[in-house]
Amino acid sequence: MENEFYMIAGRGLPFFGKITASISHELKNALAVINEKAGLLEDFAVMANSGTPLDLQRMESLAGEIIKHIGRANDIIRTLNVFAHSAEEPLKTADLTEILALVIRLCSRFADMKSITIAPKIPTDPMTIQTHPFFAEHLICQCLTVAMDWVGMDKNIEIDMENTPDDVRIHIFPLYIAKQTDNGSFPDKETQMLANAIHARVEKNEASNILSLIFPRSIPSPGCNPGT
Amino acid sequence: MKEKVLLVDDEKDFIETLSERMKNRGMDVSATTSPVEALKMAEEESYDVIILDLKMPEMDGIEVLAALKEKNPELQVILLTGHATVEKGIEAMKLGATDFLEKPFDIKDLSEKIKKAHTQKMIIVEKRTQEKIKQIIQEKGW
Repeated sequence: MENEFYMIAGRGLPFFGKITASISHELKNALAVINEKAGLLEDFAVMANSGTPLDLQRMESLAGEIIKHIGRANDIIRTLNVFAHSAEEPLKTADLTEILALVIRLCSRFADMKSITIAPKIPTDPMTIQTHPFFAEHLICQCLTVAMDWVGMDKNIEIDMENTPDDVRIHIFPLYIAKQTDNGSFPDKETQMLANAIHARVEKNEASNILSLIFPRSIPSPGCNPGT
Repeated sequence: MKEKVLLVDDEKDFIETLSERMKNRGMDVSATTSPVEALKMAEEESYDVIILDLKMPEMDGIEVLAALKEKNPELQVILLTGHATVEKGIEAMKLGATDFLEKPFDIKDLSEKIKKAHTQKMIIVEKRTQEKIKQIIQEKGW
């Protein structure tokens, strides 16, 4: 189990790095917009000193835009904060709808870069499971990344969730699984190991082109605990 | 002489505001959020400098740079990047980028880099003109 833990942790570190790098890029973009808008306000002040009359309505609108982008930057930081804390959380009862929503936010930049739209139908009622949040995030992100490679020409991925008495399921579709380039090797050994650590299952249905992640409501044995 | 600049970045709010600031500084600025559109614009118009974001949907900035340079090797391109890593910088320079700048930046730094790139372009154009004149003189035996 210890070896398995190190292997999963070894994969978790690059995942953590990839996500934080992407978020810092997004943050830099928000800061760049704020920087230009504040700079334009400064330009107006310089121009006013040289006799150009101030357009107060324009300045008010610019200030509003700066506030909007500060809010955007704050949302990015908040997402990063939740993600960072999840890495230190032990096995716990967590709401899978919240975990999924977080992963979609974390992966949104990767989707944008590929011009892919992710359309999740996340239920408003909580769907609680017992899991290691960081491992669950990693597994969902792994599946979503693969789904982005399998997406069709319309570049649209839908996600919905299903509650059963024994488990909670995330379905990702429509995908062109039969045409995948990895010759059916997904979930690979490492993904499988990650799923095993939280007693989850990854199933691909080639007939209906759906990738499903199945999370048990509770984990029978302690498993790998990143918090210990 | 006004520098003719094309700004390419998928962040609409960013290019709109930066365009306005550059125009305030006497530059002739066009802007687009689409790298594909940018390639078309660069074919139809002659720009002194193209300012290009490294990470964009549709096409990566490096891909756009390569496509631009293939069509016009003398084109001056300044790359904008979220994180100016040494590797990316080397890759960009190898592909012929004139310079690169990390976001967010001071507009004074960008203006300086644009002026340098513009001067570089003028030198290349002047050199090419002199070579042409020399060739004509040789051909005509003057």
